[in-house]
Amino acid sequence: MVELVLDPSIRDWVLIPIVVIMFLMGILRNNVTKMMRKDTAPNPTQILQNNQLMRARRLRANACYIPAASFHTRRKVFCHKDDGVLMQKHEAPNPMSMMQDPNVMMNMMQGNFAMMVPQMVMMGIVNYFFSGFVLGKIPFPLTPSFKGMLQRGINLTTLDTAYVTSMSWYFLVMFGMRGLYSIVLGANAETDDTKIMQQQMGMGGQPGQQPDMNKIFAAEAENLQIVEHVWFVDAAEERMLRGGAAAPKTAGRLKKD
Amino acid sequence: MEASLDELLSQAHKRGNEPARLGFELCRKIVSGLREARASRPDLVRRIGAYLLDHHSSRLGHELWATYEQVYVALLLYGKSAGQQQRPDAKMPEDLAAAQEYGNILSAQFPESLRVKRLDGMLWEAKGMYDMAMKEYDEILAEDPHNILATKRQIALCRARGKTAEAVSRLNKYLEMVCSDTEAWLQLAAIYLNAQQFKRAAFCMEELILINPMNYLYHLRYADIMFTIGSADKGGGTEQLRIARKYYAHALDLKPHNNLRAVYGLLLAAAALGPSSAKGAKGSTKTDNAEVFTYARTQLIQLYADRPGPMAKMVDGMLSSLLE
Repeated sequence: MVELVLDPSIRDWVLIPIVVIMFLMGILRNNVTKMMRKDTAPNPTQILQNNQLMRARRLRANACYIPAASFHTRRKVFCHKDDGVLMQKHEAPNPMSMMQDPNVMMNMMQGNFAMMVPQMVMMGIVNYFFSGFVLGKIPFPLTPSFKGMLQRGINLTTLDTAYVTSMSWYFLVMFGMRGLYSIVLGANAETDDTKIMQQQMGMGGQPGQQPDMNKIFAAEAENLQIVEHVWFVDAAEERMLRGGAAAPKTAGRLKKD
Repeated sequence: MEASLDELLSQAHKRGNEPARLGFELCRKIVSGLREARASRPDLVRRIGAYLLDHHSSRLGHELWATYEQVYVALLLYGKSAGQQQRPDAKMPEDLAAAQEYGNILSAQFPESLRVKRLDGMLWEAKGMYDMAMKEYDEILAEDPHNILATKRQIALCRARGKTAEAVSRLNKYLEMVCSDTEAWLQLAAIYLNAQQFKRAAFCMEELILINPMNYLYHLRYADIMFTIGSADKGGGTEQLRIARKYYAHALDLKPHNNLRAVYGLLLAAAALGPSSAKGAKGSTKTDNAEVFTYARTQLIQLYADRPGPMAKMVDGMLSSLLE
């Protein structure tokens, strides 16, 4: 099979410029996002609830390290029927109120905006300036159905699919640039498209919705109530004197879960 | 590979901690290392940091303002300790004047910043003008009711002025909100210990153990408190002493080497329990008290045997007096 010889000036005027443009664009976008981002004050009741929950979980996990009496006092504070911390009724978050909160919406919009606009602009630029010729060859064969995507603007049915145009190079650079950004801009840069996408996916299409604390609290209270207190420290002397008898130790460890 | 902070400090110490002889790079590394490790070396920060700010401020880059803050706080710490030795009618100490200058630079750079405002408050504190400091922190809290740093400063201030009750109530309110702050729990425990409210202090220590059960120091402190409760004339009992003995043993378990305090604790707890513990407590593991005592004794003798000196003899004498 005959190799196609590509004009070296394609490398100088297309391949490298695309990389440079995308790199600069990434930096610009990073700074713009930083400027647009607003620090929203955390909701105090939410912090309080999270802290209480954490404390209850901690008590459950590390109960084996405090004496039984102390554990039971603490459990009573959390799980008392009427005035236990975990038994309080909280206002269930209303998903609609989140949507009506203009700040939340604005932040979401800005986030999406900052991600989408540069990408669309870049795609437009690349498509407009650098189309109509082959830019490079990828080192593995592909089926002809990729032709429409990889060889945009070249209508040659006989051309091997391994030869690609600038659009493919654009995508390759877009996803490959992350490592470079994290070196240049620091580890927690804002340019990571895939991360943003993942975040939005993970929230199940309803970004920013709060979980229902009532359910979580009730579940935690239940968990705490079924904990059987085993005092790990109780056997500490035995372990010390007998050179660490294994049995009580593992029992204590198991209780942690 | 970056050199560790200890290495840097020893390098600096070899050259007499003289900033001009250390050079910019080493100075910068030391100051930023101290900042990141939150080490308390105001003496070093004051000299080296001030040198950096006065001679190389343009080369510090993004670290510049953090360094200003760090040197400022170090100067306050230093100025305060120096201020106590001076006569009360003396002029403002040199360090505080320098701090004032740095503070002016900072507030010119960040006029609206609450962080700088807190630094202002700390300067008032260092000067001993507590009312002004309190006012400053109140202003911060009026703007941002959940400013943790300002809240903590106010608590410290209450304690410094001897208003223990107020400090305790403020701390309790704060800990209800931020219940995983180990610093605050330790502080509260210390206040309760000062007030001889051992049961409350023990509660704080339990809370700390729950937060980090792998820290042997918490277990040790808890054992100390339990020992104190147990050996008190009124309300003391073998139960607390036994708990103390267990926690000493556990602390020793977590840190088996060079844990002298735990060994002493074991020894004293076992000695205090004495023959009364012959009958085991209900339900809990029955460990022979004499056995624990012997174990602690051999451990102690061994620990001192490794280091020859006059101490070994004294320990020997103490042990035999305990035995009687």
